[in-house]
Parts: sequence; C-alpha cells; structure tokens
Amino acid sequence: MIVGIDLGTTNSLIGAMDAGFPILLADADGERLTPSVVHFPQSGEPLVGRAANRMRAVDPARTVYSIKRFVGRRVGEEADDVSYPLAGEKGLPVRVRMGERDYTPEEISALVLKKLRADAERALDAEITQAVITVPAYFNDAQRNATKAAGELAGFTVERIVNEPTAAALAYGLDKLQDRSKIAVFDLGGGTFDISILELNHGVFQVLATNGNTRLGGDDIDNALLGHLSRAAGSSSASVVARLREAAISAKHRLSTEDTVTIDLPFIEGAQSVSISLTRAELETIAAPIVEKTRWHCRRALADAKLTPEELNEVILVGGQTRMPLVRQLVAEIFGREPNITQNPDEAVAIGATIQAGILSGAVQNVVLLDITPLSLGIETFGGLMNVIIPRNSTIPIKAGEMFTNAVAGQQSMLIKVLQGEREIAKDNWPLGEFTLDFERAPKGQARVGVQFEIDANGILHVLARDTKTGAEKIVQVSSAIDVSDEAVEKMLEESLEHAFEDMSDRVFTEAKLKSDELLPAVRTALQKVGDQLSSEELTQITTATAEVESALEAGEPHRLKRANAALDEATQRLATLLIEQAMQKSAR
Amino acid sequence: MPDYFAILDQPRRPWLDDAALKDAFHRATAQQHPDVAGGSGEKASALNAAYTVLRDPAGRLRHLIELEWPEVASPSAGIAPELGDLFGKIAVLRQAGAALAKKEAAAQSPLARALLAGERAGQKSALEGVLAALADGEEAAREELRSINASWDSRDKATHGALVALQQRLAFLGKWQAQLREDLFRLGE
Repeated sequence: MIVGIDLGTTNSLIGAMDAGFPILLADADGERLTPSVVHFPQSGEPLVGRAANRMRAVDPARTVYSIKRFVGRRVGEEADDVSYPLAGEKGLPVRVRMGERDYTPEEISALVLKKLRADAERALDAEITQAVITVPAYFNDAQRNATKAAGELAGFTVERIVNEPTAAALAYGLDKLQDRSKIAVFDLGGGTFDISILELNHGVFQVLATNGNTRLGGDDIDNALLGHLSRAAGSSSASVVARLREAAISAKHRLSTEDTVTIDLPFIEGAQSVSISLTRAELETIAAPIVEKTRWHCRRALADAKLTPEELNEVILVGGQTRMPLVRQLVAEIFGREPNITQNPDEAVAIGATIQAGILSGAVQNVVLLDITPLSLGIETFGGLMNVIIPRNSTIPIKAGEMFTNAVAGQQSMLIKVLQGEREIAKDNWPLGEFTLDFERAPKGQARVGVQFEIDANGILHVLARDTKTGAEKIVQVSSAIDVSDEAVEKMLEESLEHAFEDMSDRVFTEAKLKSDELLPAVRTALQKVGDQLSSEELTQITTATAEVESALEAGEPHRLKRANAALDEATQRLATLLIEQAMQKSAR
Repeated sequence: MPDYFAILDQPRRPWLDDAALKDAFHRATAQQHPDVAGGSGEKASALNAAYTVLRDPAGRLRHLIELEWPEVASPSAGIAPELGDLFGKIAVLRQAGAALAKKEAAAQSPLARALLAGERAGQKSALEGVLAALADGEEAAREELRSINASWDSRDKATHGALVALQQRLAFLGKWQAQLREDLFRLGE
C-alpha cells in the first residue's frame, strides 16, 4: 500500500486507493484536513495539527506554522516575519529554535508527516511505509531533496515526489482519459503559487510548461491584512498581533462570501476592546498587488507552451486562496474564460497524489504523468555566466552529457558549480552545489571527462562522471550549496556590512535627483501632448507638485525630494493614462 | 549514435506528421515510463530525447542527414539568399527593441514610461509583422520538405545537398521565431 500526501503550507492531507478509487483518510476526530502546525509545549511531546493550531494565538513563540517556506532555504533568503524564533547564521540552512534545541524544517515537516502516517495506519489498520509526496512545481532541487528527507525522517520510503498542479490535473482528468484536451492548473496555496499547462492524450498527462513563485500565497495576503488591522487597532505588540492574525485569517475567509465583516476583539490590551469593520473592497485593495503578481507567471507559462488562452479547454483552480473572488476575477481576465471550480481546492492535490500512488502500485492502470523540470539546469562558466545544459520545461526523466577537458597541461582537477535558474549571470541563480572532476596528467586538451546530468522523474538531479580513457564511471557527490564553507559565509557577512555603512543620505539624494531629472522634462512633454485634456484642477495639482520637486532639489533635502517625486508621480497618473490611450489610438489606426 | 526514428517506431523520412508523432510518443511513454511495470528511467529518457529531436523539423533533418550520409561532411551554407532580406530586418528590429528596453529600464516614473507607449506599440506591430513573414517562410520550407519527402525513395547526392540547405533554413527560421517571440513577451511585461 502506497499513500498519497499533500504536504501543504497551511494544511496537509493523506489518501489511499480503495477498490480503485482515491479516498482521503480522516483522523480520529473525523477531519481530513490537518493544519501543518507543530506546537512545542514547555515539557512533553510536541502537538501536531488542530491541537497545535489552537495554541497559535496563545503561545505564538512556541508554535511553528508555514514551515514549508523554509524547506531547503538558507537564512537571509526568506523574510523571518514569523511568530516563532529562527536560528542559524546568514547563508546557512534555516533552523527553528525551541528552547535548548534547534529543529531543521525537515524535522518539523516530519512531525506533520508522522501524524498523517499514524492517522492513516489507524484508518487502514495496516502499517504504512511507502508514500508519494507533493511539492510545488516550482520547487528547486534542494527543496525537493529536503521534502524527500522529511518523508524519510517520518519513516516513509518516498516512492515519488510529484508536482502539486500535476497531481491536481490528475484528480480532474482521471475520468476524462479519452479526451484530448489542454488545461491550465492555477494553484494558489498558502505559501506558494504554481501555474502548469498540460495536455491530456491517451491516458498520458503531459505537462507542457510550468511556472510559479515559491514565495507567493495566501500568507502574504494575511500579513498585509494583519498590518492594516494592527494599524487600525493602534497596537503592534506581539500578543495583539497574535490574536489579530487569527481574526485576520477568519475575516479573509468570510469576505469570500460576505461583503462586510466586523472584527471584535474584547479586552485586547488590559481593559481596552477593539472593533474594526472591514469590507470586501478594502480587503481587495490590500490583496490586489499580491494577487496581481500571478499574471506574469501565467503569461510566461503560456508563452513557453506556445499556446494562446483560447487554445486551452479548461482552467482549473486549486489551492485555498483561489476561493477569493478577486483571484477568480484575475484568472478569468488573464485566460479570457470563467475558471473551472469543480475541484475541491483543498483536496484536489491530495487526491492526485493518491492516484499517483495507485499508478505506482499498479492499482491504477493506463495512466501516466509526464512531467517537466521547472528550472533550467546549468553550470558556471569561467566568465561567471550560466551555461544551460537542460533548459526549463524539458520533459523528465532526462539525461544530458557535457565534455570537460583540461585547460592547461598537467591540470589535475576542475571545480564545477551546478546552478538552477533563468538568469544569465551565474551568481543570480540558485547554486545547487559543486563537485570536483579529476583529470589524468595529460597535455592541454587531452584529458577528457564526460559528465552526465540526469534529472529523474522526481525532478531530482544525479551527476555521473565518466573518464573517456578508462571508461570508469562514478557517481559524483554534489556537495549541497546549503553546506557553504565558513569562508563563503564570512564573505557574505562582509558584503552585507559594507552596504550597511554606506552613506545613506547621500545615496538617497543622488537616486532621488536622478528621478527628478527624468520626471521634470517628462511632465513638460506630456503636458504639451495631452495637457489640453486635463481639468484645471488637475493642472493646478501638477503645477504645485512640480514646484515642490524643484524647490526640494534646490534645497538639497533627500527625503523631502523623495516625497515630492512620489507626489508628482501621483499627480501625473491621469496624464500617463492619457498618453497610453493616445498611443493605442494611433497604433489602432 | 541512437536512431531516434527507430526509438519512436517512425519511418526514417524527412516528413513526419506532427499529430501521428505525438501519438506515437504518448503510446510509447504509456509503456516505457518508469512508473509503469516494464518501464525505466533509461527507456523514458531515450523516448524524451527522441521526441524532442523529431518534433522539430530542423532537428529532425539534422539527425536524418547524420544517419543517412554519415561519411559526408555537411557544407555550411550560411544564410540562404531568400532569408537575407528578413535577416536584415530582424537585426534592425532587435536593435530598436534593445534601445527601447534600455530607455524603459531607465524610466523611473510611470509618466516617463507612458511617454514611451507610442514607441512600444510601434515595436509590437513591427515584431508581429516580421513574425508573420517568418511563419510564411517556415510554411514554404515545410512545403519543400514535403516535396523532398515525396521523392525520398529515389534520393541521391542532390537530395543530400537540398536537405542540408533546407535544414539550415529551418534552423534559422526556428531560431529567429523563438527570439522574436521572446522579444514580444518582454514587450508585454
């Protein structure tokens, strides 16, 4: 028996095949959704799931949530805006500090997985040792390896790491196997966003393109709303924020169906009570910039799949955050159609993971997932550039060979740095790790070692080196970039200190002046072109704002100039709109 | 060298039907993917490599030429004369695009960006125009490919030369279309 697990940022689920159908398993309380939350009491065993979630507002510093954000991440890469303490030096793997002991994100995830495993063993009355675990499609190699490690810590053999949107597509399409169709899966969860485009044909679910952001999700909306509410409540003390967080999340949920909610928090600080009213429109204003970020990824995935929105048959929504009407509106706008909401947004991924478990065990026949690697894989060249070896969106499993030769006579070894990402400059990409190739002593260009990069069906990299003379093959251990040397950490620290001591006010002024120098002539040109379409009130506003920029420039006051620039930006908004309209009209003629 | 035609059970010919090729790939994948009994990572990566090469006409032709005339070095034909015109246009267009992108990157205010809207709209329609010409060029090249395919059984030395020239034409057309599509994508950001 293989189980399927959706290890989510907010909630996790587990399922198993039963008489040919995927079913999700409930815990002792009859609940299928397990909050991915772990609470560490002062003494005794950690609490996991709903019991832990109840402690979030009571004991925020000892209650770990959204740990998925930190899986496979280093300190400094992620904002540490969580209520529990993090540990570790900048550049090293993130740790969670609970009293005397530091926990890795894998260990915390393993606690959630262990609970799911126990629930499943109770529900099925059998020992469970094999699992399929889902990850965001845009997870890189390090994040996939860390998820696999979490599964192993929980006592599972991880039979497959499967991408969440692909799993959701399987849940949607299992009863539509004979159809030939192209679908997009828009998956906005608590912490991550993925967009995947698939083609269904003869039982093969082929992913054509995927894109996403592993740091974009409902949590960001919660945090933005929390900021708004704590300003409204006039307090940002830790205890108030912890209670407000609970209220913010519940208000966000209710505003998906209601127009106005009132948040009442009695006796919040001593005797003071707080009552805040929040409308859906206000929430949407707060959430819009976050939701809008998904648009670029959707366009990128469509372009990579070489498809237009009209060529898709369906756009499937999954992930709890897609319940928000604003998200559905944006999806409808991007894809030019109403999204398909037939899938349960919380359960589709777990059901898909369970079906994949069924495919692996043979319980489900005639279905295969054909996935891709989300990120380009490459190595760093001498000039510090990224040399792509396996491009993003390549179907996996895939192998690619690369030949390395000695650059000078007698060279004994070469250091190869492996990267994932889409940027041209090597250091802008995610470093996966490095390895050393050994050369035989030979004249320049004569020693040759072939290296094979393989990405398996889990999206995980394996490297094999072959000496072309002896034909000897060996598996190369890529030392994870996460165990960076002390020297590298020191260098990173030095660099961050250098920045800290730069003369801030000088830089602020130079930057602000650059912007003013651009803005002032732009305003003059724009007024000549479309100024006659403005009201006299608008003209006055622009003139006033322009005068303030000029006077701040003359006075040489950096922060005043920055504010004045912003005000002029604001005052010229309509001017910019008019210019764009004029350009569109011209090009339409 | 692997024979990708054999791996996907396709006739070793210049022309393959896109839909039939995809079906063959999916059918083979359903049998050989590591997730199904009897499949393996080895077999599936070979299928993936074969499909990637064969689905792209330029890649398929290069592979076919290597298989059919392994001992003959293919001459490099450079840019075919019928493409010379387009190449000039593309170079000028991409230069203009790079200059516009530079101006837009430098523009810090919405107003300065709005002032560039006219130039952006012009660049977009110019890109679309050249992309349409490239698509026509590719259609013509495919037509030629079909006619070589029709007389494939009586192929000779001249066929080799014609295929080499056609392969290079298709490779240029493919590369340029990818570049301009990418430019168009960036313009929409």
